[in-house]
Amino acid sequence: MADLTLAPVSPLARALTPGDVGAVGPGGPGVVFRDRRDLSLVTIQVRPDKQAAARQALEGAGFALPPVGQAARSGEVSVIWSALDRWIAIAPWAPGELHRTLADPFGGDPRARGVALVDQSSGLFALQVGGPKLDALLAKGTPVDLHALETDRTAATGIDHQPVTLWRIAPQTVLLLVGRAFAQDTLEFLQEMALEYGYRNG
Amino acid sequence: MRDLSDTETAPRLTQGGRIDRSRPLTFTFDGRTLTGFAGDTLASALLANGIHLAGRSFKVHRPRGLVGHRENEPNALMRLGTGDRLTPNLPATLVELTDGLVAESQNRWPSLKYDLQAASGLLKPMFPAGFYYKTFMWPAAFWEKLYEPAIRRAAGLGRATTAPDPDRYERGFKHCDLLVVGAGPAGLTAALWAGRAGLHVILADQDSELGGSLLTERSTIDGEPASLWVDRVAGELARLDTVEVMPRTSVFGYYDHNILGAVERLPTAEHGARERYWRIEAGRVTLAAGALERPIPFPDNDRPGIMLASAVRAYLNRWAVRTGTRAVVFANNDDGFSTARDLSQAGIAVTLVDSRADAELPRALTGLEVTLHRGRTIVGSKGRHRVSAVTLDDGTRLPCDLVAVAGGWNPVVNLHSQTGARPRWDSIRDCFVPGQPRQNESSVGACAGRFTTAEAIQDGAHAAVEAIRALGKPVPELDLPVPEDPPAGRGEALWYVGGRDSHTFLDPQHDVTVADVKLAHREGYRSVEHMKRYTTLGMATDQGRFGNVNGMAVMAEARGLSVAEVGTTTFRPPYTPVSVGALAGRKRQRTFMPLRRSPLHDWAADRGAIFAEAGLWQRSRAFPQAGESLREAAFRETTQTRTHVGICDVSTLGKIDIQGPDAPELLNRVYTNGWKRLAVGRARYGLMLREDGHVMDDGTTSCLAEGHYHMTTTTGQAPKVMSHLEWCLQALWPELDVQVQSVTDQWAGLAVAGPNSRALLQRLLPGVDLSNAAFPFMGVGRYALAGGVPLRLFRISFSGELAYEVNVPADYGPALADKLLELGEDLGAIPYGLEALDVMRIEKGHVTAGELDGRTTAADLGMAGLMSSKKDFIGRVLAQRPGMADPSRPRLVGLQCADGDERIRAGSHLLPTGTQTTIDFDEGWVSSATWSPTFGRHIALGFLKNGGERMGEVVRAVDLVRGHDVQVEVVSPHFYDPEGTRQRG
Repeated sequence: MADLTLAPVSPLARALTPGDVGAVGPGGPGVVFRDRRDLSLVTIQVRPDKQAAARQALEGAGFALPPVGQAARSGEVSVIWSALDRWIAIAPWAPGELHRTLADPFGGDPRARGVALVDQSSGLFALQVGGPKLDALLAKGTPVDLHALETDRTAATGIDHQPVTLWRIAPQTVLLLVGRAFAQDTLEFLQEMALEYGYRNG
Repeated sequence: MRDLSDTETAPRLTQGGRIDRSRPLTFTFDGRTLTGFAGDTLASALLANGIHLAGRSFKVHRPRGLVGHRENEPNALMRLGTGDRLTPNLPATLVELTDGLVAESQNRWPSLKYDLQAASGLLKPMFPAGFYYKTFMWPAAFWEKLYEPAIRRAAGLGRATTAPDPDRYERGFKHCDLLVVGAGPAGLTAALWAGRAGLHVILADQDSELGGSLLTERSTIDGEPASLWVDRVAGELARLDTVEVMPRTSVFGYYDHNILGAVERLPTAEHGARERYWRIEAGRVTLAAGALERPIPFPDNDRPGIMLASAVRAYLNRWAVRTGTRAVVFANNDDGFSTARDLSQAGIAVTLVDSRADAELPRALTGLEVTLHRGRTIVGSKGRHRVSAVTLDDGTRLPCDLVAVAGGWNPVVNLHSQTGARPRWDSIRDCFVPGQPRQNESSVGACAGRFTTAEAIQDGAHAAVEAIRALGKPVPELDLPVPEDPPAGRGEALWYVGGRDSHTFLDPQHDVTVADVKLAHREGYRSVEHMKRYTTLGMATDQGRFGNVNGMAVMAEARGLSVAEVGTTTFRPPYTPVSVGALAGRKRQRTFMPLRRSPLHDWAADRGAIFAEAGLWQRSRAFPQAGESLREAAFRETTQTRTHVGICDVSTLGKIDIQGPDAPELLNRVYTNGWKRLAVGRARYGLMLREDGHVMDDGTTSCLAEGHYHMTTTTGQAPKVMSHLEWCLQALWPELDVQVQSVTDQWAGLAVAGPNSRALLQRLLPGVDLSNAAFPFMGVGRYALAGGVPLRLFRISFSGELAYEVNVPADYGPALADKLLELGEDLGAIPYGLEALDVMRIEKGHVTAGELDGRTTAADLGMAGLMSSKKDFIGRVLAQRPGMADPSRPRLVGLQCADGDERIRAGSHLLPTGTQTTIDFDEGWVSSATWSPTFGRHIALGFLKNGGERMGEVVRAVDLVRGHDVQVEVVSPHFYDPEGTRQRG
């Protein structure tokens, strides 16, 4: 019997090779890039007229649908606002497990309650960007007011050419979500912009 | 008067100024190697080397010297760099001197000193304002052949390189509570107090140093030199976390919503960019850009050595450069005294010519050797490449090598004007000052016509307080420094000295004279906007900074009005020259557009794929083997797929997840055919129309579960279909309980096609019954591979073969492709690309972008049967318009050579045989064409008028561009397996 196992491949398997690049000073790199393929991402889309009920159902399970531009953490699961009537649940679990966990509060049939859950663990690429030069780097790509993007605030914006979602997970760290097909282009842009600070592919 | 030593007459002073004499820098100017110091500009370094002659005028190539020290320099435009790093038209006053700088003067040949085109000066009387509107008219044929080429050769100043720019440029975004433009006394004060209150402040100045006018004047603050106060403030600003100081940053444009454009020049760095364009969004803007001195135009005022007095003082005080040894200061206001004082104290003989009859030397000049000619004006000058003497209106001749002209001040109202606000005339100060703001901005200090340092500091503090209060923050206690500078200078307007108007220059860059403005008036161009365009006054890099106000005053006089009544021209961005590279940033060459990579991109590249652009995507065209051409590879892949099995990356097809109980209703409304009865586990082909009835896109949609569908679109139309669905749900039918989301990137897609495809997939899914009965054509299944990897299987065919499409999460795409090739090795499995796919779909008669070109209807494509008559759908009504429903419209047909086998080219026009090759006989076009390895001949798809009725007819496929005219037979578009037994088998 043939071995039918398939091994996953990151879209940045070749672009994010470990090492330091650019003007890395004695204090270390200004920016560190890290592939967060360990995270699963499931989008939660809720009809406007069903949001109160959906919020209630999720709160019963310990999750929240945060307001515009914010993130809510609950144990290992974080739910971030990403667009009008749309959130993204993020957890270091298998995609199926996260999907099931989110579907349970809706009796396993979220569609009947105006809620669409869609696994985007492969569709969205999660890139963690951190370091003392984080904001200087982001300012070269995104029109967002970074003063206002405090920890656990999110922004649906663009970097270079690509639409992205930014979630500041710590004062000097963001999780950047970008469509998988654009992941390499986005990383290459960020890497070029980070040359003057020196960067590390972690 | 005693004779002066060499040291005392050398341009560079042995002490003073803000240059670093311990850091000499070498540079070249027109091939001459020269030295300067760190802290110099190119202009100050040239003057320190005794060089005044720095350029030639645009029209008549008269010798031009440096006149200013800021962005108001009209003459010394330089070309910097060498090889492919060449930047033309940079004012030498704005160029920071660096070691190894290479500068060249412009608009001269063969040299700056001896320019042959200066002979055109003899013809100057023939080139009055607007001469090009009046000449070059006859004979008409000469325009293209002689006049235009000659004018083009003569036009322009510097020449740019045509080589690609090797430097990097960046763009970025900044946000702040307060943007302060200009770091003179007003700007520094505003930034400091706002910063102390915790506001996010950006302080931008185009200079390399903070300080503005305090760097060039001998003023004191709190009893010590102003430069010490500047250094202290700069130090504190650097320590304030919320303040960002941006030297070398020119704020060049002021746009709506308090958004401003700025370009930051960056010091050379190994990993850095050369320039960075910033889009600054400011809560409030304080304009503290200062004021520019204006000239007093007099006859022959364009000789090198005739400079603005403020520049003469700046070069002396900031850069320690004596710009002459024997000076005449010509003034209409008290600034003449400051200039005379500074020059005299530097050991320069000074004669002060003051146009005011009641001028008296102030006490500050007591004891200095300054001769005053009050109530006099200069009416002429002598000298060729440098002024040697001036003549006064009483006939006095004054030998000199420097004339410092102080004509009063023009506040820099440009950015204020760019907001749409109208500057107003201040008849007390005789200058345009900012009018009523239209955006959240205010002008302060000299920028607002308040010229003393004390006023500037008060204004800056006031601007900070306003910004702090607007944000509801506590205002820090103000403890403002006390400057000791003379009270605001008294002046008496003198817009020009009459006499020889044709030699009295208002704009030395473009050779615009007082006579030109008066001519414009006589010829009816009396509005200042018309006058500007007719005379070219203040155009190009000057942007009206030098002599525009004087020009307006000349026009006012000619019209018998006041300057306030004639008004000013509107200022537009950019305020200072901006390189195109900075505006483009990284958006050039490969990075002009983003590149979208399929999950199998690297996988295909590893297998030698040749890629093709498909929108933003890169798709694999073919996988040539050693020695194979692209064409040979495509035909091999076609044949192997048709006889065995091939796998093709179709991940780029649009995929849309549709969920909700009303999903069938949505599909019914957006597709032309019926969708209410599609069962779970089945797929259906659908055609989507635009509202105007033309076909927008096609694809399949599969029912995965009750209320859960998976729609596919063509690669190119995926974003359009997605936004179309969003529009329908948000704007047209918000009552439908459906949600859509793009999952194009989530799923890798592989087409598995060919007679062995079932056997191959059976090996991947050993527990699944894939027999035709259990998994028929248009069947859909969802499975899990080892480790729970989800897999979606669709039995659909674009090639016309027995075929499937397999979807797995994108991360698993490369592994799945490898696995399929491994499992199918003995079945003859190969990868195939876009070219083979195209060959096969043409053979099958399937349509794609060539046919779905936005102009075709369902009936044109032979799909009238898919237009349901039992329901409404988008595009139904307008598709019934007479022109759309006309049976004689071009219809999809197949085409093959009528005789022999000649190549048929896509894009050819279809004409009846025996007619002239004219548009009158055009009956259609060839949309797709290929050589068919399956049939061993060229075949094509096309649209032919009334095509369905013309099977068997021979027509001409004419390609005039490439010189082809082929006789083709009209046949069914379905060349391959028209009954569909293979794909259904």
